[in-house]
Amino acid sequence: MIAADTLITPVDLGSYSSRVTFMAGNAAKDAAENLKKEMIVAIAKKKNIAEEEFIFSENRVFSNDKSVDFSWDEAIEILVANRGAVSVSGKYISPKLGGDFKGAGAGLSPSYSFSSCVAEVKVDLETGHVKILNVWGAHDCGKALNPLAVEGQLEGSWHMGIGQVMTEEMSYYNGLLVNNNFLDYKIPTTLDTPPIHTNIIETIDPEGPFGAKETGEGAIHAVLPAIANAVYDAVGIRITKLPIKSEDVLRLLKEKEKLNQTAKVKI
Amino acid sequence: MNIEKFYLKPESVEEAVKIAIQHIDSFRYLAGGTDVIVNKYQGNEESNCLIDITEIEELKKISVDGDYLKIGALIKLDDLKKHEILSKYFSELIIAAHEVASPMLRKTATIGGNVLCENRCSFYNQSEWWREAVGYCLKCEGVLCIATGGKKSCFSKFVSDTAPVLISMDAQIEISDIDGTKIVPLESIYTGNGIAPRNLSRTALIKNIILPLNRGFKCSFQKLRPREAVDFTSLTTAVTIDNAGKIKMVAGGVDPKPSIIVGNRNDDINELIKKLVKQTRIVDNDVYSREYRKEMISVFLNRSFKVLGK
Repeated sequence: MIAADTLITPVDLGSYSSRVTFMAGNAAKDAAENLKKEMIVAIAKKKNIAEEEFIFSENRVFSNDKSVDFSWDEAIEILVANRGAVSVSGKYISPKLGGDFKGAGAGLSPSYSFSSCVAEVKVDLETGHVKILNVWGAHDCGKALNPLAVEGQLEGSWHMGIGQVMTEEMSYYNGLLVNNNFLDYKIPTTLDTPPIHTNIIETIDPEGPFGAKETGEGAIHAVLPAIANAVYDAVGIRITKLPIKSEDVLRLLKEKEKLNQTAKVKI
Repeated sequence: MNIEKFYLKPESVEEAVKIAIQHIDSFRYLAGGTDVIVNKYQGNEESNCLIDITEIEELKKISVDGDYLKIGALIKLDDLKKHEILSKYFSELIIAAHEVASPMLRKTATIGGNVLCENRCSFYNQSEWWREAVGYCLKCEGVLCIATGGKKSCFSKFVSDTAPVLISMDAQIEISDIDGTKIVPLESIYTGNGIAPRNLSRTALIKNIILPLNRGFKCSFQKLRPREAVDFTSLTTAVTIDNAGKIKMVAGGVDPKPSIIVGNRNDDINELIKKLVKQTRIVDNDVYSREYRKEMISVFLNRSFKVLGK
């Protein structure tokens, strides 16, 4: 497989936006199907049987009446016999999306992933420090083409989300980034990362390759509000600014306490 | 950027001091190097000669001398826990050492280096380019303190985690220099001036850190930082009570030097804490705000006293 030769691989928009499994996956599938067609044509010509008789299964290429019955290697030999190396390509272009109403062009995708998260936190009432104890969650990634990789992606996404919600921020002084290194830009360490419990929800997406969607950015979204909501559930304060800093938590706790006091006085 | 003219490896303290005198214009002692090398990369440390003292065997011993325990300055932070007397009587020192940086750094960083750790500030620990763009601060030969918006003195914070615990346990240090060795209380080497935070002469070397035995220390250590590893301290507190009822409270990370209050079991704890808070000079040179760090001093100290049962 040649990954990046513009002579034979068409131009693609790039590897971002959680689109690779979906777009490149569909294109790779299309390329494989084109290769299959070439193989059928070659064998059909040599053995003189109809193209629709072919079955590809269990690493073999055969016909129903077994007049053709080749191992995969034998089939390849027939394919390349008279022409040498075979190169095919495939493509995927998403169907036309949206409508003609206002805003119809925003955030369009041929498919959408869905994610949910539950977080357990401990809030220190004296320091305002929030400690994440556990994160559970489930992500609908369509068909999990490689379940272990999907789990890894989920853990990575939630760890990244925990960084966004707890410690990561950029502070500036006169337009210069103050925390411009990984000592001062606080990515959670292993000690700051709670046990992460992942669940893969498999659905078969009608448009994705073998029904797959994505497991990347979509998975991050749920963990941020889950942690902020867990803080609310624990101590009754609403976080409206990220990251959740100890000092903000402490300030909000004090404001809440003050409100409670005045409410009591009024009664 | 890192053009070294000399890298020398003496085998005894006397030899090290001798070499230092020869290169007196521009040299730096190097032990674990976890502080010096980073500062070199950022251009905050520009000496032409590094004197690597890691081969000096006499600095690597822990021994009991009468009522005192001597810890060699080159003992690695990670190795403190391996020593029986330390883990039995000075467990809080081991906890403090364990809170420094990350496992890998602790296998290189030394206890002597940690008590001499350079003061830090968000506006000083930056690359040469960054400091030039912002305008050099007082600590790097500028004219104004940036963190305070124009004060004429430097408030870079004292960040050693082990020093507050050591000071709270009345630690002394044995210093070797041109004119021989002397023993002084650890806290006496800190000046409180952020630009030159220690009053040791340039050629001086710490030989031993000396802790008193048989005083029945009960100590409590706490550290404030955003993450549970790696980060330098935003506030370190250590409280020690000995069997005579002497209380020594030390706070680090809130002043260019450790802030210390000595009291007695019969004293009003709140008064002592108030006194300590008053002593600190906190400025906005940290991830946490000035007000928050100030507030946390009493929270941490109160918790420590609760732990110590006072």
